[in-house]
Amino acid sequence: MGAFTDPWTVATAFGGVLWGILGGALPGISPSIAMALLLPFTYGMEPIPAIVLLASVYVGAEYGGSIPAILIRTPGTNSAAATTLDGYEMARQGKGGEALGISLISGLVGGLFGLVVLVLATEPLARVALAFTPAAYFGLAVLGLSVIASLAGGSLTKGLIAAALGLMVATVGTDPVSGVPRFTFGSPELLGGIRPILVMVGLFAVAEMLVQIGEPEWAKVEARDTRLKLPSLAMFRRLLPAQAIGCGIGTFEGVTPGAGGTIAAFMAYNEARRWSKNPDAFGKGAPEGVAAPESANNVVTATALVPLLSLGIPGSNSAAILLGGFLVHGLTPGPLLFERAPDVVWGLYGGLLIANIAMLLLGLVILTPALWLVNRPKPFLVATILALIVSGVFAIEQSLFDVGLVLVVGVIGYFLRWAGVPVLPLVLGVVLGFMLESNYRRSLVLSGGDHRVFIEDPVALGLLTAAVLLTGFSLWREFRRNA
Amino acid sequence: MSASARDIALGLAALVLAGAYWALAVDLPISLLSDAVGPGGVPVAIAMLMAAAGVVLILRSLVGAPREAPPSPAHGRAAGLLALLVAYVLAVPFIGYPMALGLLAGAIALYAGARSGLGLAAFAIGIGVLFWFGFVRVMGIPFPAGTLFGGI
Repeated sequence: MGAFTDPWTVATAFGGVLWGILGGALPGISPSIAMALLLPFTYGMEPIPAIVLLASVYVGAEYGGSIPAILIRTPGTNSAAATTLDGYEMARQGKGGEALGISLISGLVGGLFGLVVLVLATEPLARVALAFTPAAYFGLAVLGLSVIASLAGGSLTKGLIAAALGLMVATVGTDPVSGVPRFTFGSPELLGGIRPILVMVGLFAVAEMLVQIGEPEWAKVEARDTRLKLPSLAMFRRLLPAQAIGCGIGTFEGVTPGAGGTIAAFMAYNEARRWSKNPDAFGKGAPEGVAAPESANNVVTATALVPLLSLGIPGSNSAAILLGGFLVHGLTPGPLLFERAPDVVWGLYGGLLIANIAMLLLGLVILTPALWLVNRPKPFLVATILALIVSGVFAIEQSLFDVGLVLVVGVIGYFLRWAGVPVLPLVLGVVLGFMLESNYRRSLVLSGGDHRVFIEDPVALGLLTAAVLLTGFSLWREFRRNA
Repeated sequence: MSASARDIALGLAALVLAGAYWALAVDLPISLLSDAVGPGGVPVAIAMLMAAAGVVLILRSLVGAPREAPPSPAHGRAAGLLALLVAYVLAVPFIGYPMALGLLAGAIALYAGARSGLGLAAFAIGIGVLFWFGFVRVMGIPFPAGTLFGGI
């Protein structure tokens, strides 16, 4: 746990949480966008502080999102939407500071619980994956892509289009087997391929700004109710059952790729109401209605990393950005990460612990600056964010070509949003494309071109069967919904 | 535009993209080092997947009941912002990073609804100077100084 003794790592954890709270408090800046904005700056950093920085942003953003959710009924992040139901009611009753305190403490409980699950679950899962052959890795990549079925937000077909587009992007550059240039159009800048980091910044940050420029000004927060009040011991005891429900649901939803914090928060809210002795109080300012979703979405910040670290499959936008952070430093999440860079994995665990402590400490003092930031005129915020994007992207390779490429990806992301296409399958296609193609072809080279290798390898067969079942189930569900 | 029309447009775009990508994939040269699949093998499969999804989307939109589309973002506003960003990329090599970035920040803020005046000018200059100091002086990133000012 050298993270605790390295001042630079501690500083990046605090800095990441600070950035995350401020970004999360701004409606329109999701955790993944807040992370994507920092991604280019991690290039010049050591791997551990870089990964800790990004993970800490995710932790901070979950609390930051609850600030406007409670005070102005505008969730700063999607996963804070459930918090508005009772949090805003509490604020209307003059208990906004108390609601913020409950959000902060419940988030801390959730974050620490999620961290324990992450540490306990990830390594055993990764150990199993260590025995994988190239055929099994191919099966794993196909299973990862079949997660699209649950990420596609109601349309598997659109998810497939996004995934195919991501796979197309992944094939740009030199062929992994023969070294032949592919789809580079004679451009030397494309010979090395399109870096996932550029795709992520374009899809998440630039596309969001292109949408935001046409949106009205964000709602402003009045100065009242800005004094945070931590819950008393009696209130903490009262909230424990709701927090336990949030932790349970957050764990399950976090390790399930595609589910994410938003679903976890709403499910936790519903279950807390269902199991409550006083369900009628929900929606009218029940503290449990804040505690359950806030603990659930903070559990997800850690448990969403289980499939990423153990299998290399990002199950959420934020996990995908974190994957980008690993790739920037030449590290590939998955079973081999535990062998090749165990210090980074343990550094991340330690960093997440520091980040949760930082969330508590900063949460106590950050409210006033966060509200000041939310109340800044939107035109200046949008301009500053875009200045940060174009500067950060240039800084990666000192390339204006990269800045242009990010703008192109941003336009693609904008139109995908317009057409209702989920972007996460595209990111999955980009990050899993190389693994899929190289292992497919390596398997065939080893088997002398015999495709039966994918059936004869029991792990590959199991993973491919799971992928077919998952996709088939989603197709059936979509067909039934549209029938 | 209805949701169905948007889906048809998306399906057609997927088909066109799949066709162009497939044509490029089958034209890839085969190296002596290549395996049985070849550099174009996987891309051809991807093109087929994209085309199949496009066809399904078009057919489903044509036979399904018309659906109301979610609100559309303001395309004109987005295009204007994009033009400013493209202008920045083109201008940086000539006028240099700090001036181009300051002008970009000021122009975006103005375009997004900020009132013109001393406050806006101070914001633009502040962004140009602050980012130049942070990226160039502190982080040592060699941003273009601008050929106009004798830099590269």
